[in-house]
Amino acid sequence: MIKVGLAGNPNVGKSVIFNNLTGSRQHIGNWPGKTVEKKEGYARCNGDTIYIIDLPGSYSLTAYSPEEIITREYIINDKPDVVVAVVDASNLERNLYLVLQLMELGINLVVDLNKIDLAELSGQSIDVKMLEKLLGVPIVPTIAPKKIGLNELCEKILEVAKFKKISPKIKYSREVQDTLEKIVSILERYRDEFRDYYLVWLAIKFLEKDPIVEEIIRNRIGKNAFNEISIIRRKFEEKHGNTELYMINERYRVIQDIVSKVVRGERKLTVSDILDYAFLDKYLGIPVFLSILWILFQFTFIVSTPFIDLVGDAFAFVSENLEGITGNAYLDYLFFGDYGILNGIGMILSFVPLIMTLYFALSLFEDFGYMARAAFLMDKAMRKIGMTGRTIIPMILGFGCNVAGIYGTRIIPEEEDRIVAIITNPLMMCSARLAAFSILVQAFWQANAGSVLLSLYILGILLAVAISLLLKKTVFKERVSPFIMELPPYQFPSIKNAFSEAWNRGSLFFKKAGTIILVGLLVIGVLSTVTIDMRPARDIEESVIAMIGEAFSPIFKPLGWDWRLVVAIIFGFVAKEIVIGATAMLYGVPEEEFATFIANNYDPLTIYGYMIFVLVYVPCIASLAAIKHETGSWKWVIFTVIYEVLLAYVLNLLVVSFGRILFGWYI
Amino acid sequence: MVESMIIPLAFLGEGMAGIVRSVSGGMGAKRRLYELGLMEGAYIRVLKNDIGPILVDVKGSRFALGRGISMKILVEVVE
Repeated sequence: MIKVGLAGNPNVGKSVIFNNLTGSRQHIGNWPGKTVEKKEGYARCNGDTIYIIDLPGSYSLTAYSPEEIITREYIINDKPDVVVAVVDASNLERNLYLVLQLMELGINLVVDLNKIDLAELSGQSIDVKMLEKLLGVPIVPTIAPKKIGLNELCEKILEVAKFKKISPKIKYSREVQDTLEKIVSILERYRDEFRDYYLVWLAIKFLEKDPIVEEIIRNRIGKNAFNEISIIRRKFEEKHGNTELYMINERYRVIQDIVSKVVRGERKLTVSDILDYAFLDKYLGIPVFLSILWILFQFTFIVSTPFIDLVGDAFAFVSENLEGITGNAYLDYLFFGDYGILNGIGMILSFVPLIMTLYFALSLFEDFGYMARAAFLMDKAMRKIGMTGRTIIPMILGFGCNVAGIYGTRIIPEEEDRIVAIITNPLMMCSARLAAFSILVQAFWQANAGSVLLSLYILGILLAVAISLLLKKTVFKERVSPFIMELPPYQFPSIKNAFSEAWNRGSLFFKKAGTIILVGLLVIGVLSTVTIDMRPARDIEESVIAMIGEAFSPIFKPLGWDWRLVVAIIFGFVAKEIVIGATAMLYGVPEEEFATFIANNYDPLTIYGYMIFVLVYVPCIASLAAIKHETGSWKWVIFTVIYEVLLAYVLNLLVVSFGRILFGWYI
Repeated sequence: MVESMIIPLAFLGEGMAGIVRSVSGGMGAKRRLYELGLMEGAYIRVLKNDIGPILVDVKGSRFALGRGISMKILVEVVE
């Protein structure tokens, strides 16, 4: 089968092209050992099926970022038949920089000149024939959201794959060419050692002091030969200074020469420029951003709620009615019990509409070009608290649901910032905890209930900030990365692309996170229904979970809890809103009388401490599954659980102890 | 004829333009800026410079640059 790699700068519309070519026949995973996303798919192309891999967006092919290393190593090791370089026509000069580097790899290249309509709108025209001639690479103009040019792109891919004939020549200066030829002639002596590589590329990268290529060469040629090429490089360096910067300049010189011959017309003020005056305004920018964020939040949760309720109710109804059908209590429980398989699948499915609406909305905002503006607006403030501008979006989503928040971190491009955002997201007080807490605050604080809830919201935010700062100072060693970010031109978002994104992410969540959730539920289910010697428990007090609760209760004694509250937090692991129901059940009190009951039996300080604990301790199982899915490793899941449990306990203990000293036993 | 004025990019006002004369700073930042076309000799126009990062136009692309890095880019004011 024909193998095609899709490369390009970020924001050139590469993913729209990928989605339009492959439709729903795609697989999303991670590159081995990286958190960088790997998207593969199949496309029908004039009767042939071709395999397409969407390589990570990058500006260059150096050895200094995971995205760039992945791209170049895939091209070298997996040898795709054709690489398609997706280029933003409205921004030709900068985009050709990556094209030139792909040409240096000596591969079969097709240039997809995308967003050709935007280039025309800005008053520029591109002489495609001339560009094709100067680059020596076939070029197909496209407008991806309208599917214009995609058939031609398909045909060109097949043509190039079948009749390999591309031999691009880059016109570097005489001096650079001579230097490269000298290095190549030495490498040629070891031809067999370099079967996988294109020698000219190795020579260029060696000249640029690329650390990975330097090792490749050092390991394959003799010491003398290595010295010879090092001397060639040193001579070049003595004359021109830093060779890497010199080569970047050299490429841009070649590009300017090409652009001056193919691009006609001055760039005019575009709609994009006018929108930026509004969206990035000194005074209006942030209020507009907050309104957009509010719309995003409302859209995600309001649109998904009816679907979530419908799915949950349907599964509960079916479970209840099927209970008893197998005639065996164990099997019955396994399939139809409260924590059984059917209800478990219902719970997983109930998250799917949420994930889908979230990704639908995020995809529209990203395609539109607004995400980069949000980062621009919020960056200064967020950086002070150890986060980046884009982190605010998953944080706000986390107030609705941490699962949505964790998946929302996709929009943060830098890996380390994303991990920090993921593992601090569960500290945002989600709607499940709000539901549980509102019953408790009503019972104790009536008139001040709102302020007490607000204090918990603020506590969560402060803790997230503190943990972020701490992680940046310790685990991630605050790298001094200067703030340089591209703001892509605005464009009309593709609804079809948003739908396909929503569908793919929803089904991916069901498969990836679903199994983890189901297993977790079954474990809790079994533990709550069997006794320690594996007989069915008559009531919950006999169950293993109650034993565990009692075993741990001495640890929680200083917090003022009895074993029932301990058991309730074990149930809270399933979903935080269960905590109240579980406590009521354990005390044998009907849920509607629970508020009065708890107010008569506990003091406000203990319950305030308990709420802090429930706010901070382990994220619910769906959030944990999301963390595993998004970080790709159990390491961060375990880290999150441990730090949150410790933090919850310590905070609770501090609040209760100081509270007792300050206010006496009761407030 | 006034003598040409060379100032850090961060001091270039909104709507003004200049030609990059020198880029200092670590190799990582320099490589990044060069690859994006922000190198010596590049024509750069400031679109926004009030609070937070500054917004510039280089070769038709928009970039947001932090204040720190904008102090390390020296430009010759042209208009």
